Amino acid sequence: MANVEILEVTKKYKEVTAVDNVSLNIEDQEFLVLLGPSGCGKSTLLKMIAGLEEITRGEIYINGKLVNYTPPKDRDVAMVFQNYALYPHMTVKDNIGFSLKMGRVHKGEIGKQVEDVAKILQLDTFLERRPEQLSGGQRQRVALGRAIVRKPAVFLMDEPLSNLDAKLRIQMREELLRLHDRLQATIIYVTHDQIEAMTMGSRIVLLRDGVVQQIGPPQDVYDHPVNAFVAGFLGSPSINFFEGQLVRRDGTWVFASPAMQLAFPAEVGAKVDAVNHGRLGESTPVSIGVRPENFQVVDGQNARMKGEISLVEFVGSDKYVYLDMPSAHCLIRTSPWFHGKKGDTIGLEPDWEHFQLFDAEGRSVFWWNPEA
Amino acid sequence: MQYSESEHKRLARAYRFKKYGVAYLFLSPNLLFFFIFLVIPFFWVLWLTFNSGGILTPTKFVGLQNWSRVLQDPTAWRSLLNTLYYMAIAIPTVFAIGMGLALLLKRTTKFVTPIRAMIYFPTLAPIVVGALLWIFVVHPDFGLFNTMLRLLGLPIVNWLGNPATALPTIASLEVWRGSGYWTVLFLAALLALPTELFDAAKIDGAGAIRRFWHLTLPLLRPTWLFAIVMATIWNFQLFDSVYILTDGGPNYSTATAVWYIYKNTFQFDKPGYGAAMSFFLLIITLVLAVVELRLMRKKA
Repeated sequence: MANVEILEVTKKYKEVTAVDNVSLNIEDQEFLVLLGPSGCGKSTLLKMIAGLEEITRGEIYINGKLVNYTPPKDRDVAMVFQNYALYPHMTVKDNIGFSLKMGRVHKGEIGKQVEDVAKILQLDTFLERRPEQLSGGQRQRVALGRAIVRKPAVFLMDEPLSNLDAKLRIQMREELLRLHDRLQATIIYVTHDQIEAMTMGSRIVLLRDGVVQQIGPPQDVYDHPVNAFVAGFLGSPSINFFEGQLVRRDGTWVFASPAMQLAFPAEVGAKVDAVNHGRLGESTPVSIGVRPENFQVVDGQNARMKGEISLVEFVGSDKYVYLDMPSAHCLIRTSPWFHGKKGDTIGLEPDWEHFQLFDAEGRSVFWWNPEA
Repeated sequence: MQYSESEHKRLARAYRFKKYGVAYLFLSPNLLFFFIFLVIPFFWVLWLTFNSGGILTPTKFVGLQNWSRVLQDPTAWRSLLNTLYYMAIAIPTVFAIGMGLALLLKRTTKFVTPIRAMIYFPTLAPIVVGALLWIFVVHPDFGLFNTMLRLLGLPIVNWLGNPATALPTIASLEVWRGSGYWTVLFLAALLALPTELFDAAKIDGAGAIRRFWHLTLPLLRPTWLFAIVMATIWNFQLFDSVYILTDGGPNYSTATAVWYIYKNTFQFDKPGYGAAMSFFLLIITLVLAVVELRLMRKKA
């Protein structure tokens, strides 16, 4: 049982700042996901928690105890590596039991604990095998077993599923969640896969260039992205952005671009006014964001947004429809029974409830909180 | 089938020639030298073992006489034992030094290249230069070793003149010459080990020494296998430094197998006898190498 507190942590490699002034509070038994593109500093942050990287500035506390100067073995953490990092010359049994052996646990006791863990992970029939004789999924389980057997306060997982094929990844995702329930452990999980992050995390921390962009439960971050980067990173296929200007016309806000003249409904206009505080004046350059699933297909004749279909992808449960608009492109998600073809012109209406508006710097007009 | 059986055969031959022909072409110079300098001499030496006669005198078939005389020659046995004794000193020492330096160099971050170059340098020195240099190190009057002993107030040693120290002194030269090579080899192997494994072991609670015993050493097994077999083969052939520094003396205390083969073949003018000893040495080396390979494999 442990909470982890990260306080203004920075990591610098000579000129490069890998992690920039990150503060986080990870609750006991939380499943926290560090998400971001490669090179965003998420693995570096994890390694600093593990004690494999020194901290340039800031403090890390595990269970209220400062661990900056504590070696990895004394931090009460276990780590699962992307490439599993199994000891190739040891059997599954010895791999799982290695940390206990290093902790000078009695031999019989090691055997018993290893068997318990192996049973949880369905590895009991592979105990005498070596890593090279196992499949990817089994190796993954051994790596997990090695972490579990130590009963650590905190599990650190560095992209543990990224080397598995798609089907196995989904299966292991589920198993990991079940394991989390069973162990009641604090897990800090690094991934670049936004689906993994959203399905598994109780909270997501989205990082970019070493800076925290947004922290929150998956749906909160998905629905209320604080900036265009967050909006674009979460969601597959990703959100559509349209660039244009915000103008005042007949007492309402209108989004004007070559592709469309989009007058905001009264309640959206009121929302903009409520958060505006003079930030958005006449002809302010802005962009709007609409997710592929937040469109309604309407009659092309008098629609405010129009596009010509350039490609239709059938993916089973949905159809992805690619549209060409004047100086813009757009992807929408429709039901598999949509029967538009390439070359057809269709009209669209955004779902105003899930409509995003970003200022020229990419900050969300609705959700950006300058104090945060 | 639209093509006949024979046509398929012809097409397959042409296809294979295209596929492998170039490979054989590139191999041919090497194969040529392999035949001229290894295969032919091998059978020639084998033929020599059954003959007596000198380099200038005509040969005469003597059957297995050379072979049986080797077994009864106390100097031959002595030279073999000397060689084994030398190997028992030199190989573990050079491996320990090589591995120690490699471990240090792995952690070194500053002046890496010049330090590596300095360590590898003795390996590049021609053996004659190395041996002559070593004379200045072990010279009884003004050598480095004795100068240091004098400074410490200890009695000086006639390193190469004393039968008890002569062979270890030669071993020290070979260690000095060889450590650079093994350092570079071990360092390359160490740097190729995945760092994640060591990260995992750090978290698993293994300190530096236990990481070395439980990870580094077993993970380097392929390197060890190569190193032990190659060191055995190379060190069995110790000759030049003996020839230059002591010429087998004092009182045959540094007589090594290859040195004795050389003496018999070229100085005592008994090439048949030398050839028979060469074959014994070949067989012993082969047996030892195979035993080593087997032992290391079994452990794996």
